[in-house]
Amino acid sequence: MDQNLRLLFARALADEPEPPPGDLAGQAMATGTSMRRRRHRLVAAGVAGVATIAALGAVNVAPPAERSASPATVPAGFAMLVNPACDSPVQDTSTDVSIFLTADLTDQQRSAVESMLHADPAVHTMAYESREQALIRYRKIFEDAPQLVAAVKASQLPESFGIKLTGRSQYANLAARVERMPGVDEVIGSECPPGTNAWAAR
Amino acid sequence: MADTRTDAAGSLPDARHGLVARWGVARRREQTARQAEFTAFVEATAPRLRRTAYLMCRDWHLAQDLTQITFAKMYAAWGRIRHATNLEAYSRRVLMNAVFDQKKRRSDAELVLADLPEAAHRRLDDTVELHVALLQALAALPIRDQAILVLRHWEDQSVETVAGILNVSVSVVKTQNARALNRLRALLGEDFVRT
Repeated sequence: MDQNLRLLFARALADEPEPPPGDLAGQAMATGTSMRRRRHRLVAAGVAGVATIAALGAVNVAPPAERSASPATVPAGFAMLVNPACDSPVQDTSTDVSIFLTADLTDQQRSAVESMLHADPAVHTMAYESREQALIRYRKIFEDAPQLVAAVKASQLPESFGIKLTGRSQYANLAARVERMPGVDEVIGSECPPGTNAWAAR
Repeated sequence: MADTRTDAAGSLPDARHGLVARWGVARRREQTARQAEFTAFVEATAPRLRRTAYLMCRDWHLAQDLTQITFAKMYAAWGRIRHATNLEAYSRRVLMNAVFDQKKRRSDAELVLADLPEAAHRRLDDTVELHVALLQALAALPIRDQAILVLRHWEDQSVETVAGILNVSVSVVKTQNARALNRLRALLGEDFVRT
């Protein structure tokens, strides 16, 4: 038999139906535009978030800890530290989780969170990221926006743990367990394309 | 100082209006050009992309959806990627990621059938049409191996391009390709798959 693979593929495609009527390009442009808008909104909210993080930092230097007025933009501010190739923040479809730690974290709190994550059944792999590593990644994510890079110092960025979940259904479980731990500031779920993760630069 | 400012303010509305209008026209023109460029790209790429999507999912409806998703994602990044050297390969990469995503989402929702591995190892019936048997055998392979086979042997992409599309090394493409071909031979018979 002298069949080669390409010929067989061609034959398998022989029953191709007519493409459905409709403007493929037009629809793609409409969907694509709203995707882009959503992403821009997230980044814009994130920029506002970094400003608030910086402001919180400044406030914290002067009178000790008056952080009750944590504004709603802060989660989005953390979300901008997540790999832009991932969809964030998402819940049920999360493949990755970023756990951002508070600015006034103690060593005990950090190791408590770490050992809890180590033992957690929802955690497939985990990676710790220091403030300095966060800054390196932040610079990469915003390399096209020098004014954003110049405005931020390592001390203004949070330490974090990056988690690969064992399955997509695990986000809610893990978030519920981790969120209330002392030293944990924000938990963000991301849906990342295969081969990447939430704490890669892009 | 104050005088010049009032003067300027007096004449500003007109000047500004003209500028804004001109900027608006230029922007619209640019946008129209960009849309025309994208439409031409879609028209040139869609048929091949849809066939590749079909070989990956064996469902023409889903293939159409995946093609649609691919183009939408590409349009969302069009300003950045339009001058990329190899838009064709880029579109394959976006498509394959959409395929993997879809597959993962579905396998999360579905129960895995316990007897599937056995069925996959069974030699396929001789009466089945060869290309149908091929698609069935393909479906039994890991999704990334399917992608390698389809990109290499249907699309005729080079090993390097496939490696780029799937974001793996050249040697991974080579070994996985050889292994996937062996599995197809095992499933379909020795001289079934001659490449």
